[in-house]
Amino acid sequence: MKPILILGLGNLLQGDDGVGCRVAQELEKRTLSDTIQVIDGGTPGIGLLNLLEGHQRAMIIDAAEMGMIPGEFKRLSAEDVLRAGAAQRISLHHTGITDTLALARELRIPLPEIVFFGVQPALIDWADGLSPQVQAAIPHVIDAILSEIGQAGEVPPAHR
Amino acid sequence: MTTTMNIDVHYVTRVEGHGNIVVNVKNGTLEDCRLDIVETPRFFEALLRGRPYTEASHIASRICGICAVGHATASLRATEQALEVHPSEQTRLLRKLMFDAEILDSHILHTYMLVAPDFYKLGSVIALASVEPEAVSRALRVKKLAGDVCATIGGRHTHPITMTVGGFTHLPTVEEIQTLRTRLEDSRKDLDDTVALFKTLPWPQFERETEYIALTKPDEYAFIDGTIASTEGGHYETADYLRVTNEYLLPHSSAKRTRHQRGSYMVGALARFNLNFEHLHPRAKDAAAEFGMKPTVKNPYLNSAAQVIEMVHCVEDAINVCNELIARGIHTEALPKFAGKRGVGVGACEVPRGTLYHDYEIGADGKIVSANCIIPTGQNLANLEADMHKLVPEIIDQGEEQVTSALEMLVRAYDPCISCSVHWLNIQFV
Repeated sequence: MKPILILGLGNLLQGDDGVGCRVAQELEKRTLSDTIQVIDGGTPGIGLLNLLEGHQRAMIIDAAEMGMIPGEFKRLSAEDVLRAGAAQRISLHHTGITDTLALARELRIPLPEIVFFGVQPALIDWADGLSPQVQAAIPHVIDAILSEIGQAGEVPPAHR
Repeated sequence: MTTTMNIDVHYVTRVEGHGNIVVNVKNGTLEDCRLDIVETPRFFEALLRGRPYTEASHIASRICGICAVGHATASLRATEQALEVHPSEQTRLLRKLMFDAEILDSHILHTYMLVAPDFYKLGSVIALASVEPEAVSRALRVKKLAGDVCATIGGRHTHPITMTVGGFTHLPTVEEIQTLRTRLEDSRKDLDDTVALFKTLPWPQFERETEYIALTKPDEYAFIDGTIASTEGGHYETADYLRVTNEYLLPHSSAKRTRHQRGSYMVGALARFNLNFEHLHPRAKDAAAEFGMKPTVKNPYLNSAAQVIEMVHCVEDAINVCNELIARGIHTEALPKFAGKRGVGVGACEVPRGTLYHDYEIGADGKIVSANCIIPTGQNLANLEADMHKLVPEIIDQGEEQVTSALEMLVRAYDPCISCSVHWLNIQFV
């Protein structure tokens, strides 16, 4: 199991909701360090826990409604995401990241150190492909991710 | 000025997602009590038309992410009936193993995550996790095992890739089956703890005379193939399923309803329990005894208890299937070639929620001419409504909050796909 996971989440059928998957697909084309695994995770629900298992650090990329301009993105901690609030009721089809992390916390399931990259969508609806603003953001998101973990895939001293 | 409005809904398909319960009681009289299904049609039968028969199971498995193996299997059985393809014993065993795993996966999540929180008067499994962390961890652990069984044989956790007409495009190794067997044997404690937990819960007491329908077989607890049986008597070949389902339309529902010998019937774990009890594995029969359940159980809330009993059975059956596969060894088998003949066929399976039918006509060119898919949730809707009609007057004096809770729990007990949505319930009291 590689120490660093880059995990793109989302639904490619719903326009900008697929940005996480597209970022992962772009990264898969690159040659990265042996310490990095890239996964296009789709919409795994509770299965997110299985994807995270065994890694030390995880960068998760997903569309996030943050009240920002479409295409803008933000680095968030797991705490930031949890504070966004878990849903009152979980359904099998809609277990989101917040719910899954909240569950992991309650169950004391060990998780990797998680950093989120939330990308502000323009449109989340049945649509084939990303909006131009979000499409244009992808290279910048990738740069930010790779800076986070260091180009060679090692964690920079300041982040340890 | 008056306006006349005629709404005529053509091509209605199946249920998946939101449902509204409407209850109107005026001066103590139940005036209206219904389950509104307002979900949009899925159009899968139309999607299948014109596609090569080899694609049918892959398209059909997308009907559901939880019962993907169930839909794929029913689809394959329909195609195989139409093309006169007879799966080998190895194929039969591998499909059985995947089925046991999928039922386990679905039931463990339903019972722990959707049903259990109600018994603790909690809103979600997250809240339950802080009260019963060991129980929720157990559920995730068993779910992972079940998913891994499906992934090992099906190629991935959801939407099996390796299943195809007449067999598999990729086979597991004997070593992989041995590993799964060990993990299944190790899971027995988790199943015992599940029975111990659920048998202590305060199951609501409610009964109604109900017709139960499920597939049966002479020598096993039927999940794949069989004849259609009813607690009111009668056996039907799966090809005659329409004589059992008798679908009809209702104005307040975008899903059809079914009826057989009564105004409605119930399918699912409880129906299977009532009709196939004798074929449960002994450990599952022990679990039934712990619940104090033996046929014929007429309390729909106990559908979830029947699911717990089935989980025990599925683990044991899966172990037995693993033993058989290991003894036989895994062998590459040739897949059938298309004979170029037109055919019709019905595939019937007991998926977690009940009896599923896929009915295909395949043309001489190998393309699907037409398809009909009747899913279990649609077959349960009329019965669920009938239960509501009886339940509400019995508990109306308990007040709005209690009645609401009881109705929510009743809908969840059926484990319908509509309760998988967060904001599905809308109860109006008049």
